[in-house]
Amino acid sequence: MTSTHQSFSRRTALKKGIGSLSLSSAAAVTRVSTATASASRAPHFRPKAKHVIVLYMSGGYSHVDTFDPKPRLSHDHDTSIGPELERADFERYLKAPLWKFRSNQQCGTQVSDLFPHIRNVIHEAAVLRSMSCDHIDHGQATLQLHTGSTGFAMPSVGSWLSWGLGTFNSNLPAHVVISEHRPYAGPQIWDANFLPGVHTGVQIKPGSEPLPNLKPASLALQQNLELGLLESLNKRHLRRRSRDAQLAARNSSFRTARGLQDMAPEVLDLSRETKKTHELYGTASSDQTSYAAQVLMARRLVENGVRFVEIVDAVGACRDNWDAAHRDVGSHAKYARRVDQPVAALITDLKRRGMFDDVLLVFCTEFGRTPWAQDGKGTKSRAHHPHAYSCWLAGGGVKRGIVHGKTDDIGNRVVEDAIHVHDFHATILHLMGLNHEQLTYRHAGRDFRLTDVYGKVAHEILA
Amino acid sequence: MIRLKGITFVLLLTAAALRADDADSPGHAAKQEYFELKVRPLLIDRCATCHSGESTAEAAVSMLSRVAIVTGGNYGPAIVPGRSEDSLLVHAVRRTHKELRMPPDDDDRLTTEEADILARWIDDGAVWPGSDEAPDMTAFDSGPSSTTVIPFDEALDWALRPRQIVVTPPDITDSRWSMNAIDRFVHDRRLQSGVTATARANRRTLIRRATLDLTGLPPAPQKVDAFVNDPADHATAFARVVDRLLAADQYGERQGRLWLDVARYADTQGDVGDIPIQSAWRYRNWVINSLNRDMPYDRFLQAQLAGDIMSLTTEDEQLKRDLTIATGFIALSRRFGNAKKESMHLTIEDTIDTLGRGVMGLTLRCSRCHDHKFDPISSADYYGLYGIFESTTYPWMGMSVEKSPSDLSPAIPGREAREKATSYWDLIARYEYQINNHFRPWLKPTLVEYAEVTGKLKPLEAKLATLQEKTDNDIDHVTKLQQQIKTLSARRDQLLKVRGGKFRELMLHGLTWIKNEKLRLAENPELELVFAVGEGTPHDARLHRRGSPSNPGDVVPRHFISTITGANRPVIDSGSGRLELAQWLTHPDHPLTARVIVNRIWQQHFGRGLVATADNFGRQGTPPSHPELLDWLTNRFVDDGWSFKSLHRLMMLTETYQLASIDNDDMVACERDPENVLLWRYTRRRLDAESIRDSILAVSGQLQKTQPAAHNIDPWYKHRYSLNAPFHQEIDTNHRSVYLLTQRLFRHSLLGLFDSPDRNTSTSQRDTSNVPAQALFLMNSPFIKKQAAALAKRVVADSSEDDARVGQLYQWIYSRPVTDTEQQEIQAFLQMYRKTIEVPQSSGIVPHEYVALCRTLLTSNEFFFID
Repeated sequence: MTSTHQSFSRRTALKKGIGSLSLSSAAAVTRVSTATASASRAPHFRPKAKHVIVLYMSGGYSHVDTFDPKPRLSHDHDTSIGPELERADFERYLKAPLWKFRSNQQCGTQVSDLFPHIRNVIHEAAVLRSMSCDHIDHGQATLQLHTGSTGFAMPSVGSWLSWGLGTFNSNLPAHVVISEHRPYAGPQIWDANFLPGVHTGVQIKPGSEPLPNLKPASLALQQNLELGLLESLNKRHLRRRSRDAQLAARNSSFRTARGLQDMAPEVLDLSRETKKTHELYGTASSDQTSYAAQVLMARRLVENGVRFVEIVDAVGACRDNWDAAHRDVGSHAKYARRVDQPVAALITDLKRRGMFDDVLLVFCTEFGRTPWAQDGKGTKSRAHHPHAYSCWLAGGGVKRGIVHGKTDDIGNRVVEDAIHVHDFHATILHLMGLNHEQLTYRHAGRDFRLTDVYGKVAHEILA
Repeated sequence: MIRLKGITFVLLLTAAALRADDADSPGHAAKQEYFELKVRPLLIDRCATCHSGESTAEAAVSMLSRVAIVTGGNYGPAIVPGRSEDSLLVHAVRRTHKELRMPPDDDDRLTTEEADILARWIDDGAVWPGSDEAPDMTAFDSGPSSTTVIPFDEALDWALRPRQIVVTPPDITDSRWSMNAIDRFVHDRRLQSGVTATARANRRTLIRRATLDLTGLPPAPQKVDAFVNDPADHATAFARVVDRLLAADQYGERQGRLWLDVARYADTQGDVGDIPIQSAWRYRNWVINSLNRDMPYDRFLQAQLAGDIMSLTTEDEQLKRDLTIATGFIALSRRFGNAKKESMHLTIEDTIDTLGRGVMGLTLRCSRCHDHKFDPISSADYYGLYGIFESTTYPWMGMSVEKSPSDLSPAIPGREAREKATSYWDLIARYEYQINNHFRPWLKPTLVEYAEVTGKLKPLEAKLATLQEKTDNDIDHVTKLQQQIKTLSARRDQLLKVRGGKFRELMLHGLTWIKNEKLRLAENPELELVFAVGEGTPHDARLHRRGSPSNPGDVVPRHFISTITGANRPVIDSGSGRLELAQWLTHPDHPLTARVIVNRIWQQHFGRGLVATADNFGRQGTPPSHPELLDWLTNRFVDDGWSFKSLHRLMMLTETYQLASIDNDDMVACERDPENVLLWRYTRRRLDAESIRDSILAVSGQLQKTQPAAHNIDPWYKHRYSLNAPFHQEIDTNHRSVYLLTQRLFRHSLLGLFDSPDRNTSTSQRDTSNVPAQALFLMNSPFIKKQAAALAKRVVADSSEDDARVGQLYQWIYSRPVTDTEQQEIQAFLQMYRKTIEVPQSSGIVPHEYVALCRTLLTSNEFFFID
């Protein structure tokens, strides 16, 4: 595979990044003698958004308790709708939502009391009530939400975007994932897989060492001497090898690393934010680890030119998350409290800074929860439900204050304007200026794409 | 794959729905009327133009017959009577299916009301007057019809054609290029293109190149000197070097690593818990040791595909073990999900993909869901192979919901041993089931009653015994007691049989006994068990329509690739067919097997295969740059008894291999052939991940050269791994990288950073990415600091003068003497660095300036690249 098959235009330099610092092609991938710069590249058509922030709620929040109000569930609470297809002995008793739904004053979109702050800004978003995916287990559904595939490992959506569009700031990676803990399906959800390795998401762990090997091994003065000698040795070595691009690229990667070493702590240092901003998010200036701090970090990363940032919301180990299988749905309150204010603050903050139109916000989860109680009549839990769930998009290029898609009267199945995960991906790529059918990569004998052979852009939600 | 419903279940349900809609049932007439008034007109108007049921119809499924609709087509049943939400038809018309949208044109889509009519009709049982017969099974179509298979094309499908038997190298007059066949072929192509080759590389460059190439380690300085000063003629001297390297143990470690890339080797299963395979290392070491012994490739491959079957024909116990272990190649296919067998079709897909791309250079996997889009490979071919592996028993180290291993193979195979192993695992699984379920509410009444019954029995039995001891006992009393005991015993025996007797031991001996017994069994297996495959029940598989196992099509007889075998399909008459498959693949005339491996070895030495896409010889791959040379080499390889070592020697002792990599003044070559397809220079390349780590350890003097056995990981029964708590361990040793614990779901922190292969799928060529995270690692990581310190300590102990020390470092790291300019620059560096050290260094510690110098040299381009 000597030639990297690229079906989009290779015109370089889309010189429009916000907070863009430099556009040098320093972070480069070489394979045999083909150098593929990861500097900013051209999209297929005029993009609506330049950056993505994914707010991924791990575990699968219940759509009928959050963004998809179903009065019949309260009305017919504890009444049966008959057995499940695969389990004739299991009666499905409907279960009322635990939180009251109220309307946003400006657009009327209903959101439950779990998210009062988000409800106040939901008129800035398009709520998708017709999501569906192909798998009922966390690992596979999480993998599909991130890569399109439930089984075989494939590149993640952030890697596709990084590969397709490049970065605005060569001192920072194009694809960053803030994940305190190991998510479902592990690092596979930000892996570049067959795409060049530079597009793999860089995991930031909020805390004392956000990136591996970021702390200098010696004093700055000493490191300068070492890097100076290294550069000199490499330059001499290059003299009779001047046509080899990979040698020069490797040489310059040390300069980039030095830049990252110096810059990353600064970008991630929240003490530089104003008191007003901290109040908005609900953070203290010394706080580097809370969910609110992570959201603030995401904004700072985007501001500094990072293309794609995802925050994986998991409190502790995987089980301490939105998963409410065989567990009280009431546990949702704990997780909602963590994210509600900061997520709403992010919208307000981006608007205030004039960045809202450049950033696509994606609030999502891997699947929904059953409208019926999981363990029989009157029980507290809801089971995994891949057939219908709700997510929302906001920011660059997204219609504001709308609801798209519809489920049946209990939220069991999608009945209108279905958005399968593949359609979701196609829409995200579209907003970023990429045609999901043209963003292909030749691997193992065929052209692969994020949306496999599926995907349909939800044009109705585009502004 | 969506886990909704099995076909069989749908059919059962359909039958039930039909019965429920007995013509006498109330409301039936109303439902008939609803159908005639609302549904039938809709089906006729909106569907039947294409779905007419006629043989010439545009669409396969007739919308004018209930049987046809219930039976469905490629996507499975179109409706599930009584369940509109599970009916494809409803999802298709509502456009809530991810792919199928009917009618196809968006402008023709049904209104919400129309869709609701269909949904209501289905929910009401899909009543269709005059049509209550059971669905006709024969109506299933057999999947993609054979007409969609790409026809064979002589030119495009060159790799499927037999090799040219007589290939004569062209005549070359230039004495530099006429010495051997490879050079003659290569030079001839260059001449035709007007491209001139570079000069030969110097001996220092050559020995470093050859040593890294064959062993993955840099040469020792004394070996470099010996070669540089060898008075023999160049050809003899270099041949001596190559022969020495081929005989070294490090050869197998390097070559083995490359084969393990193809075999997607890992020490874990790849399921949600990434469960470790404690005995995987046996396969890894078998590969390394077999290559060191120069096992012929045909034999090497046969053992990996069918070793367990071959072992039945030998009496040699060691050979039996080795042959069994070799099938790790298949056994190590990736596992998916939470439960054993749940995603077996994906595991077999991995086997076929590895066999396809790894061994045959074909993307067979593409034919899982449909006939291959580019190559003449049908879906039936895929399922012909699928049946072979479905007839094979794959081992399991457990899964997150089924903790204990199963189907591991006895190291010395045989029917008796296999039966013994099976009952061993069955017994463990039986105990495990009781341990996992002893507290269940549904079991409680049984346990309570059992305790009562046995509690009553004991004193009665004791009493009876005492009575019977007496001579003057009361007969009536005894009879009564015996009667009571009999009743209670009968009840006890009944309780022991509750739930199929699955809880017998729990009642008889209690939980503690079971736990101890399970542990005792787990710790003391009666026979040696390895992660290898065995023979299952031989059978032909059914085709999976659209790749979905829940949508089975026709039974496909086991066979190989039809385009290659033609009408002469090898007969599979006993067992799974793996032995026949192995024999077919390794037949000297097989068009692919030998070509593919020869091309891989070429790629290893020259940086690019004669076919640049080493895992794809199909139409989407790159055609060979030197087709005659490929066939000539392949013929020679087969004639030489499939010997790897002879092949390496053949390729390396050419002028082409020994070309310099440094810039050529010939701009024509640079411009016309920047990719070096014509081989006018040596293609410089970065060390791969393992060579980086191993070379650093070798130079720092820390490399441990012995061959390790098992990893230091806990046995299976110590832990339970799952999605929420997967296995994750990184064990630091100073062994060569090929021996490090290798996980599927986690990349090694160093190797992963430098593009080690994806362990989930067969890898043909390593990437060489260049990312800042690598530079950060080299600048700041504890590993590099530790190795730099070890190297500094080594060189400081070696001599006391700065000049001499630097000279020595250059020999160790770059295999060459330091130049005067470099010496001056480095002395200046050392002096400046000393000035930055504020606290005076005591004589006992390694001087910081040397640690800094060593780190810089170890991370430089000259060390990282092979010239």
